[in-house]
Amino acid sequence: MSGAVAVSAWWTPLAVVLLGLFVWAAAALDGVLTARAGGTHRGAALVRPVDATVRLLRQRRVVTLSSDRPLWRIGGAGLLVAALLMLAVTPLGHWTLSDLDVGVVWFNAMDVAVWALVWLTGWGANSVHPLVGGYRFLALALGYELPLMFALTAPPIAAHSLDVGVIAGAQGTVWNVVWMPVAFVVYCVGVLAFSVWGPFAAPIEPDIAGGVRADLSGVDRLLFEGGRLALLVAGAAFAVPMFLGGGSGPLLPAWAWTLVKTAALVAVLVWLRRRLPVLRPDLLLEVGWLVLLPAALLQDLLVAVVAVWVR
Amino acid sequence: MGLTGFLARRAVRATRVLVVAAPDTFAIRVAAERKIAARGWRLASSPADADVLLQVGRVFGELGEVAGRLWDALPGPRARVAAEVAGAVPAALDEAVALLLDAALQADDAASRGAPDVGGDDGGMDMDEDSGDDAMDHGSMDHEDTDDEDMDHEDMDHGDMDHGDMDHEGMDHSGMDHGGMDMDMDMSPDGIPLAEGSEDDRDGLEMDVLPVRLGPVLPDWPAGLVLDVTLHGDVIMDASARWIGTGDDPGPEPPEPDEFEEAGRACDEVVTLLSLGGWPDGAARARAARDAVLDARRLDAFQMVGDLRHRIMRSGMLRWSLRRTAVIDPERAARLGLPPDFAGDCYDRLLALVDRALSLVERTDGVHVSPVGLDVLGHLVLGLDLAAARLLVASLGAPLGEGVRQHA
Amino acid sequence: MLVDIVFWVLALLAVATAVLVFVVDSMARATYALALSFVAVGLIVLLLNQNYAGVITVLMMLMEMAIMAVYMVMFMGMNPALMPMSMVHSNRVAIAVAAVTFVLLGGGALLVDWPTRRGAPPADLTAALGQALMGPQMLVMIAFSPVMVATIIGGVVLASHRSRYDRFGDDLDRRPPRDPARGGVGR
Repeated sequence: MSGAVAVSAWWTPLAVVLLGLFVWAAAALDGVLTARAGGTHRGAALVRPVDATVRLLRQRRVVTLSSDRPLWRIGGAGLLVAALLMLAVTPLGHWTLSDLDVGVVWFNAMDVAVWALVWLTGWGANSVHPLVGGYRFLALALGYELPLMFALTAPPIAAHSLDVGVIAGAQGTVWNVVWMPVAFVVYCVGVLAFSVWGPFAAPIEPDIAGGVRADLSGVDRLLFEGGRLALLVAGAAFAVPMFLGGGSGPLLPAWAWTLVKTAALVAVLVWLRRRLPVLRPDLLLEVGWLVLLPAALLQDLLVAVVAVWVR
Repeated sequence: MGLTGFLARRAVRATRVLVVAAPDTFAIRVAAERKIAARGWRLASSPADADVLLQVGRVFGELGEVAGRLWDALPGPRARVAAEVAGAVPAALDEAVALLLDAALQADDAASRGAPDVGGDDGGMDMDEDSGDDAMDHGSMDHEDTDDEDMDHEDMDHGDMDHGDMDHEGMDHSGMDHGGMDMDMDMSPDGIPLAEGSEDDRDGLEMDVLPVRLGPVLPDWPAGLVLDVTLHGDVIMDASARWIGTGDDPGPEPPEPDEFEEAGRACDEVVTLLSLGGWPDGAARARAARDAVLDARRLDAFQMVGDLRHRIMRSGMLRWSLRRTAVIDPERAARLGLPPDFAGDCYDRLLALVDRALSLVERTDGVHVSPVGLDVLGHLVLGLDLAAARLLVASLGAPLGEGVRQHA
Repeated sequence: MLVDIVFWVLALLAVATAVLVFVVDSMARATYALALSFVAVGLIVLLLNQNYAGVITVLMMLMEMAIMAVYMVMFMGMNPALMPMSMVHSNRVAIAVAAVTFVLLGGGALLVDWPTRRGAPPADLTAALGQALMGPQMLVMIAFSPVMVATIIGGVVLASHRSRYDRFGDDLDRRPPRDPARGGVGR
């Protein structure tokens, strides 16, 4: 099988609902893990995302003096839009909202948009701590973006196509993650980084009073936090056709397998936050350029050699 | 009121509390934190994140003014409560819940907050003398749609978390420089002058200079410590530290800390450093140990701290992150009058803090660490960026801790 | 029909945001208005079935405008406040040149006798476009990119304020190197 079937745009609300459910699940999982680490009661953690959402919706919005209001708000709200646009090219089993034949490049364009959005959220507030957070994000971004781009190149080289559905179908029984593990790891690093999650959460750390989100409250904060988790989910969902074989697997239909794999990867990424400390951008910059980038390039070389040889 | 009340009650379950603690109020502050955690609430990292402002200890004088400004910065619905002793904390939190659930009170509060008085240097705005109308457009200040739901208010400053030049109403602004553009040289949008550049930067860049005040209310920061820094970018080039004033009457002398409290303080320092070092789970374990030792469960605490020490030793990432950060050479430490075990990097000091906590819990070490003057702190943070400076302050632990009654 | 509507909307958006670039009071807004204009053009290219070229244009423009905004803030000190500013230089000459160029290109597009298509478009448009543009020089073009990246990096290293000798001492033997802040891999 090759390529995915594009369904009509009327299915978009379903995609939004699925994204919302996964975001809720990710938030709940994070809450459960936090509660377990803190030794507090876990049960309430499942409903906590709803409580937090209601609290944020009731809260009034903060306005700072001389802030660039439209750009600031676009920065926060745009994360959710970028995540949805990423999902537009991600197939659910055999179906996809947009059968763009350069889906990988579209995904890349959307994760580049995150650069602009997080920086705008930091700079637009006209306040010290968000500004420091925004520039920390830029420092991180300089480190992870190129390796991510090269990691995204590896599966298309193997499948001879930039179409996400074709890449998913071309994996057969040997998934890409098996023979291009470096690309998968670098890709996951990129997903964590553009969701400002886990070891890459320096832009929102408490040592700068919450950083980029220090002056966000109410619905703006909800959109920002929801956008971060949505990017994490969208990145994990995109890894499924790229590295984890798409919808392939015994017994269950393709869309079920896609959901299962996405859920598994989201759980791993959420859990990684507990295992790895938040790393400072000045440390990660060298790692990105001197370790991740050469590794991604070597991986691409290996994949290219195999692709030409097999052909 | 069914749905609104239901939603309000659900929202209150996820409350975040901003704690304004006077210096030297360790016992009360920790009691407050434990009660907050027990309710499933969390601490806020900034006033925009907070629903409740909890004043711990005697918050008067300059700290009282800071608390007032922070109170202004809380978006609604909000509640302000105070607890001067540890026993008053549960009642204060209950009162906060009642205030948050009181819809009429919150509606009045929202209605009474219009655009606050900018005052001082208006920078070109015309203020009508007899304008009592809150909704009037004050020059460059905007109002969003002013219905009760989401009436915005101008966030005048961020308490003392990031304080611009003291002459203004606490406005802060991003760094800017005039460059070579043909712009009006006296530009002061909204009354805040633009920052100037400076040549004597650590890295030889021409960065803008911004005076910022860190503290007295910051997450994972010694309560009541104020560090006035001059930032070039995010590198500190000038710093001076002091304790904030809490009014003229120091109040009753707090009782001498017992050994459990000493051990608890040591654990608390580990909590702060691990939290700033970016390992919230480690911080949670240290917090559990602190709570155990404060409850006089010495054996549990000993086990937990020992386990934590193991994990810290095993964690390569933590070591990589903290190694060679905020290094103090032995000669510099000697020159500044610091004890020799403060030399080294943040990882060494983290281990030292954990070992000290372990020995205090074990009751084998009765050594008091002598307090260190704050002028030393001012020298130590020079040339560090904000993250490293925060780690340094946290890793110095006891001498800067609240066991020091050095404030005015 | 739908394609026509989308085209006209995108075209108007591109022109309107381009005008906004010169009208707004803040460099950051000007930069992002420009970004929006370029993205609209990229999406129009998508309508021409040039998927790769269109999406790459969107990607590049988003990245470039994000970086340009950062440089604006760095060099010209833009704070978020809106300060009235005039960002144009020698605008009369520029307007004249722009008007003449528009008339030439627009007139050309409308009045030239475009040839009719012979045959059908190839199955893989992007590959065909690539072949037509680069053809036998494909290897040279591919080798160009790493050379350009290496040149950029080399230029930055050469322009750097601190060299190896500042870091490692005159005999290049000081370990650890003297840096104000350490990097991550211990070099």
